[in-house]
Amino acid sequence: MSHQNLKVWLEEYAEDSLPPELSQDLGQHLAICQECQEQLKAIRLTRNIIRASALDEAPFPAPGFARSIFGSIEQQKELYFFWNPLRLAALKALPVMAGLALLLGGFAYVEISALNAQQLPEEPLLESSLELSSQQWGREGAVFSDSISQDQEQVVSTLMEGPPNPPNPGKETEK
Amino acid sequence: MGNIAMLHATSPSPLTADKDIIRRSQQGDQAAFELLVRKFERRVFGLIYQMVRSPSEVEDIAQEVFTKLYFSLPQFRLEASFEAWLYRITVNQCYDFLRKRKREAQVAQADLTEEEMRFFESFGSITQKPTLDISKRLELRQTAERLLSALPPKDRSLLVLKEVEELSIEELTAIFKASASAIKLRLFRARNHLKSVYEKGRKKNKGRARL
Repeated sequence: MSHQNLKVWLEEYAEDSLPPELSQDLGQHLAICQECQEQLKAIRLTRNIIRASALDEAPFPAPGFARSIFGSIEQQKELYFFWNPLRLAALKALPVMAGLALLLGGFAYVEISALNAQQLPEEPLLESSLELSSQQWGREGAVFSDSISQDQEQVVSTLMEGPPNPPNPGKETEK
Repeated sequence: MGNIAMLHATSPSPLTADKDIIRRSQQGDQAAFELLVRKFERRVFGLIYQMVRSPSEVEDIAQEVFTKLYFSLPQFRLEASFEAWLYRITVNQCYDFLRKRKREAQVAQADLTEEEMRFFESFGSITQKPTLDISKRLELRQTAERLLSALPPKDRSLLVLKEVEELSIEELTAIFKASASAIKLRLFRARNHLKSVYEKGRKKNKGRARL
C-alpha cells in the first residue's frame, strides 16, 4: 500500500487497534518513511502530555448532587417548556417565511410590471418623443426664423441704401 | 491511581448505558433520571475538569449539563449512542463556559525540565510510570497543563476525549458529528499544534542549558 493510504491509519496504529495484517504493513512502511515516523512520534508525545495533564483527580460529585439537579430543572422549566419551543418553532418557520417572502416579491414584481405596461401610451416611446421635440422645435424655430428674417431685411436694406449716414466729421471740425 | 484508570474502574463501560433507565427517564420518571445522573456524574465531572481546569466551576457546569440532558432527553433516539449524546452536551457546555471566561487568551509558556522532556518523549504511556512520586506528578501535570493552555477549546476537547477518555475515532465522529477522515485531520492538526508549543519550550530549555 502507498504512503497516502497507510498514513491515515497512524492513529489506530498508535492505539494498537488495527487488524494484524494492516498493522504489519504499516510497521514495514514506518521503517522506511521519515514523515510517518515523525507523525507517530507526535501522536505519542501529545498523548503523554494530555495524559500527564489528567494525573490529578477531578472533583468528586457531592453525595446529593443527583438530587440537586431537580432544583435546577424546576427553575428552568419555563425557559425550556415555553421559550425554547417558541424559539425552535421560529427557527423552523424561518425557511418557510423566506420562501413566502420570495414568492410575494416575485408576484409584486410581475404585478407592477403589468401595471406599468398598461399605463404607457400605445404608440412607441421614441416616436412620441420625436413628435414632441419636433413640436417644440417648430415653436422655437418660428421665433428663431422671425429674428433671422428681421436681420435679413436689415442686411438687404443696408446693401441697397448703403451704410447708414456716418456722423459728419467735417461739420464737427468746422464747429 | 491515575484519573483514567480510576474512572474505568468505577464507572460503566462507555457503551453499556441502560436503555431501560433512559426510556423511563424519557417518560418523566425522576427516580430513573436520578439513577442516570448517578451513573454518569463522575465521567461528566472528569471531562469538565479536563476541559475547564477550575475545580470550583465543575459542579455548576455539571448541573447545567444534566439539566440540559433532562430537557433534551425526549428527543434522544434509543438506537443512538447515549454516551456520545451526553459528551456532546458536556463539551458544548464547556465551550460556552470557556467562551465567557476567555481562558484560552491566557497562554503561558511552559518551562520544560530535562526530566519532564524525558517523560513526555518516552515510548510508554505516562500514566503507567511507576517512578513518579506525588510531587513529580504535580510538576508534570502543571507543565502539561501550561502546554495544553495554548490549544483552542475545540482541539483540547478532541484530544482529551481521545486520550483521557480513550474514545475511538468512531465514537468521536458521533460526538462531533463529523466524518472519520475529518476527525483524523482535526486530530492531526491539534497534535501538531501541541507539538509545536512543546518544541518552543524545548528550545527554550536548550538555550538556557547552553548559557
